[in-house]
Amino acid sequence: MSISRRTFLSWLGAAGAGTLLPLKGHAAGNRQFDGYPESMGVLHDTTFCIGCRSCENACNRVNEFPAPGVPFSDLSVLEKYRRTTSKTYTVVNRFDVKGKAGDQPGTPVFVKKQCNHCLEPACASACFVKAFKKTKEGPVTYDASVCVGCRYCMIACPFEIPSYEYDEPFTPRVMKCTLCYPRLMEGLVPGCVEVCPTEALTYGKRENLLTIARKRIQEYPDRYVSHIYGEHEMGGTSWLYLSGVPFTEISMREDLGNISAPMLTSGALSMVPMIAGLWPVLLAGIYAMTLGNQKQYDLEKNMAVKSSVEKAESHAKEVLAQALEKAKKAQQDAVKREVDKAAKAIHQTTAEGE
Amino acid sequence: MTLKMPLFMLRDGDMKSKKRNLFFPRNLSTILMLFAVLIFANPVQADSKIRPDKISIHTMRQFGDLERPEVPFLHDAHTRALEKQDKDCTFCHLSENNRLSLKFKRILDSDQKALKEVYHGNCISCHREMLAKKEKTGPVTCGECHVKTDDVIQDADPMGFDRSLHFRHEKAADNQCEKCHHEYDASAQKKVYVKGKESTCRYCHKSEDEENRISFQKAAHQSCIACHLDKIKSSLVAGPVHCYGCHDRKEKSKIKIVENVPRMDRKQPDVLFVSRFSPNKISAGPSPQLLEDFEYRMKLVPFNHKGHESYNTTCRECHHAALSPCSDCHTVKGSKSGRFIPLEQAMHQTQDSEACIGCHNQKKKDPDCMGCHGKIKKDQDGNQEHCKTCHLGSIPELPSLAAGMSGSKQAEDLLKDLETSKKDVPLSAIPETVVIKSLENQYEPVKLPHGKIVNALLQKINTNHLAGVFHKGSATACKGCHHNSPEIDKPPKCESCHGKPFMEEKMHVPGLMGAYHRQCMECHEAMGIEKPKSTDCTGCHREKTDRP
Repeated sequence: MSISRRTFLSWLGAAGAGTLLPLKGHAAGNRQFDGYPESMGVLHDTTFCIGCRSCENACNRVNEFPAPGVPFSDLSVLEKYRRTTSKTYTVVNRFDVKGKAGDQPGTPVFVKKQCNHCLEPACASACFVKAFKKTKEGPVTYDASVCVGCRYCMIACPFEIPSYEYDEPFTPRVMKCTLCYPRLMEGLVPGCVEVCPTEALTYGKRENLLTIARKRIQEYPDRYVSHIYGEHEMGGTSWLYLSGVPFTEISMREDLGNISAPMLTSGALSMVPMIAGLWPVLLAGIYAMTLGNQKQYDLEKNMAVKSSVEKAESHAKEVLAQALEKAKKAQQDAVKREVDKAAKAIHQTTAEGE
Repeated sequence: MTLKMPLFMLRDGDMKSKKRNLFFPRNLSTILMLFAVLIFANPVQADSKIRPDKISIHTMRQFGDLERPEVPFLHDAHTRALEKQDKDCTFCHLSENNRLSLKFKRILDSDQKALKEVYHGNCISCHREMLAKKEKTGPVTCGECHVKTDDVIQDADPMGFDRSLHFRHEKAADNQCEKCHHEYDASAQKKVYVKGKESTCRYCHKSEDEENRISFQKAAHQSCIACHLDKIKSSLVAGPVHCYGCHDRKEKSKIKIVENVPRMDRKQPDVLFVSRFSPNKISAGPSPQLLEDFEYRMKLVPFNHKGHESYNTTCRECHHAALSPCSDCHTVKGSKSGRFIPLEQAMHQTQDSEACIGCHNQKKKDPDCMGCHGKIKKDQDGNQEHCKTCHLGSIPELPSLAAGMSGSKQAEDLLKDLETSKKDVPLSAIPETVVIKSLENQYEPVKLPHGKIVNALLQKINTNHLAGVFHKGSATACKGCHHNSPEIDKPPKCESCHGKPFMEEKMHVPGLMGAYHRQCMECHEAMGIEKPKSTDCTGCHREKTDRP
């Protein structure tokens, strides 16, 4: 069976239209989640951070992690960029940024790194056993009892936060900052926030934190870049950041966009049942239709051939009959002419003889 | 390759002894001489790649796109090479009305072909001649001059004529202002000198040539260098004639600076009111403009003109376009001559150094000031107390204006009042140490050296003009830490406002621990005080001795 251009395009059209339908429905739904009202968060004003690592120390103590190889008072660890691990929920990094003039080194900037507790967490959307949950209080919590250890959450997280207990042979867990959920339930503030000597970490309702941040930017425009990191990034996070230098200079991604991970993936994921269920039907239908079309085509072709052959045959017969008739007539005419001729000759000789 | 000269050889003022200087530089140690030998042995590497004398020749651009890349030209290298051959500026520059033309071997740019020939004929022939004499010289082939990329970076530091230089020139010219200053008489089509109208060259000579006036660059190079050359010819002490002399940072720093130069006399007032009514307008009588401006009733600002003359290095730091009162151009509503920047904005722009507030803000960026001023909120719009800092005068009355009283006596009195009204906190009210016990459970109480801090601040304030005028006595210094408190002898303690952190009703107020640490650390950082380090807890908090 050969496929004509027309056939191919019509398949494509059918497939395309079918795929577009559910997406349109999704966009028209305008589902937007602006976070739980009154949920808590932390504002990290990096311009106040002095890099003392008190927060790391407090985190270690609150979460009962083993003491690290180098004590928290040793600030030489800041020489290297660090990431969170399964035994450190939070790390402070130092960034040697350029000065205002641009040529000489400016004051180093210290930035604390931990789970940002997204309003719509990518880890939760990637988890197919729902081990992660965005609580209405703010923290994104993790339930190790249902975790199957697929570590999709680690791939999904745009901030590279969750880590895995690779050294735990039997019950490895995904580890990340809990925003001290148990402490919050007791009415306490997160461990890191409590000890911060300069209040570079402010704990409060996320809405209030945004107000505080905006006010600081307005009152000290020279001190801050006019951006609150986490207000919109990845659909918004419970941790918010203020900085005196562009966020890219302190290794905070500005290319993440303002759409949360679930929003980005739900469109594609909503198509899974459609593709799994509808496509075979559609394709089978197309196939059946194509088959039907071919049958009809063959039938019509045969009929056309037959009729044209018949027509040609009858036409030929007619022509032949006519030709025969003509020949017969010509023959008769010739005989008649000859007979007339002979008769005439006889008649003439007879007349001369008289 | 062009002749490379070591930087230190390019000193001006030693013109007469230049030949001797080339090989036996005076005032240089033997080491430097050895170094010089090394440089001569290896001239390319030792020569600076960042030079003020690099000129990119692209004159042909006036006839359309260039056919070949522009030519980098090192002016001082050529001057020096010619000096070696006892040739002077006139070897390359023709004379026009007794002034050297700034163009090369021509007065006017005639046509494309002729201009091309001027360069090709003269440059190449000279280089060839030198080559024939086996002397070190420049290129003779196309690609050597017309290079696509050049590794020498042009960096000419702009030259300015400050009060010290003006004073030195005044003396050298025997107070004959007309030697430099002139006006242009359009009807007579010539330059004339008008006494009392002297002003900065840049007011008329702009960045580009205009009708009847050459650009500032041309004017400065023609006039300054011509005069300096004349002096050298008469064997007098003269200013620089080479690019390096004026445009190299290192060389420029060698220019002698005269301290405490007397005021330049342009009949300017000592003290006056900065107001929308400039003396020019008032003397013109009650014009409709004056009556209209009168409707805007803002208290006048007394201004110490004499003082500001000594704080600035040139008049044009404030008088950026003309030596006339600000309100001549910056009228209340703005005018075309003032680029429609009204008086209010001209005085209050926070970023612009030509405006009062802008300039004061820049001065406050000094580390001595930043400890306190860095923490002052920037959005002060609508804060009336803020306005009263400068608007000290009274609202002027029309009769006094009509009578032509500019009120400089009143302004002087107001500034004197400001001086005498300063209030100091009695020494007895300033505690020597303040003991802070808020982290008692972890550390020994902190003994804050309160008296020492106060003294350090007062010392910095007392040596600063701006602070001397605007600070209302030593009580202002207290506000550096005791912010939001009125200027009183016993300001409230930190705990009065700062307590438990993260209270929703006080969300903009940090808790006590945060407030203490921020106050101390931020101030130390802003003022460049390195000890104790912010992360050194025991620098302030002594470890508890009875700690378990």
